[in-house]
Amino acid sequence: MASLLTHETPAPVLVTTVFARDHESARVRARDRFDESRAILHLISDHIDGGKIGFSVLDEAGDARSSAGVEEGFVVRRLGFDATMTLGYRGLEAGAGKDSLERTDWERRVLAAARWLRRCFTTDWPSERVAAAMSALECLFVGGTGIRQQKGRAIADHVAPLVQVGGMTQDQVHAWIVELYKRRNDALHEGLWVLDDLDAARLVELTSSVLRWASFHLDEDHDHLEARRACQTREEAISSIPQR
Amino acid sequence: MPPVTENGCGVGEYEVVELRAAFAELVSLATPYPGPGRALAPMHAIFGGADLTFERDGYLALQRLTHELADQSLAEGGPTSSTVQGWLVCACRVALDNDLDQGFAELVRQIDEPLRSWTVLEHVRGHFAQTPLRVGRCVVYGSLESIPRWEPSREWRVCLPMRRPHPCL
Repeated sequence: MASLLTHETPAPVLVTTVFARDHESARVRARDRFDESRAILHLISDHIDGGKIGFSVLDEAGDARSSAGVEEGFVVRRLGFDATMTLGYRGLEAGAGKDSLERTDWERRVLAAARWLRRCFTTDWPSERVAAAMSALECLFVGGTGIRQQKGRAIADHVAPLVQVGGMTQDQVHAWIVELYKRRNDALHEGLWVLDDLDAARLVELTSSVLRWASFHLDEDHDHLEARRACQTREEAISSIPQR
Repeated sequence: MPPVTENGCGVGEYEVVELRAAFAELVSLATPYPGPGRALAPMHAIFGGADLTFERDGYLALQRLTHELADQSLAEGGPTSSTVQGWLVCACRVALDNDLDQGFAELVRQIDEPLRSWTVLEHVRGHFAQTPLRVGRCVVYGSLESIPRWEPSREWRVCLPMRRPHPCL
């Protein structure tokens, strides 16, 4: 796989056109678009490579194990016959093509969540991974003013019936998410470390699955709504989740 | 201070008068670079190309005017603070070399420049089953050469596929 991602072949480029007064503003506007597009590529890619800083480790015998830092790389094989996005991501891609103010509530939430999810893969720090993953889940499931004090529970209420986590019952998934959200708060508000990197990795996997579910509800021909149209709002999308 | 430009932002007589007064104050506070023999005040900015220094009140005036004329990049497309500062310093140079009217005219000319279209490219590493591939508001092309109406210069060819050495921490 690594050989696929090296650049003996011509390097692909991501291109966008923006209007701006100066090149620095153009760069900022383009960065925003690039990050959205990369977040989508991240979701549809069969394999994601790199995006992390290189390191070297010496064991007691002085043998080195090292990894060169590599940029984020994608392998995108699954496209529609007309080179459009594959099912499950067409609505998301179309939403990303709109101006940010024209997006529906659900398009906006899923795109923001996808950007947060991508952040999880650029760090090994469990605190940061948990914070980014929880931000993604908040974008999708937290709504209304009354819920602000119970965000962890609101996320868990929606996620637990939606995905399965190996070795856990639905109730255990619920309790685990509530607990992880508390640790997220401790990390962000008090600087406490999230020490369990396995939990962080499992949360990122779970968030990836949830993002795919969320993106599916942006496709026009998904079968959740009788009208066979994309979900427009958070309320529409989460109405498909079975009650606990 | 509201925007002063004519390109969609409106130009009220009052704002022009106010801007001109602020600019005149800035010009009066600009001084040539004194050279390394004199210590500058803690708050200062040196612009070697224009041979101008802004210290104390001059520095604050430059900051204030920059802040008032700059605009958000994401929401409005700029101009950024560094660009506005460049306009102000350049206009001060013109005003000092000629007169205040010419300096102010130069500033207004810069402010009135319309939004421009920029094509921005970024190298993306990976394998794509098919290109071009539209992804949101960007398009993935297989190579620089495959971008329509784009003739990459030698500099672009060098810059985009560049592999950088990785320093060690």
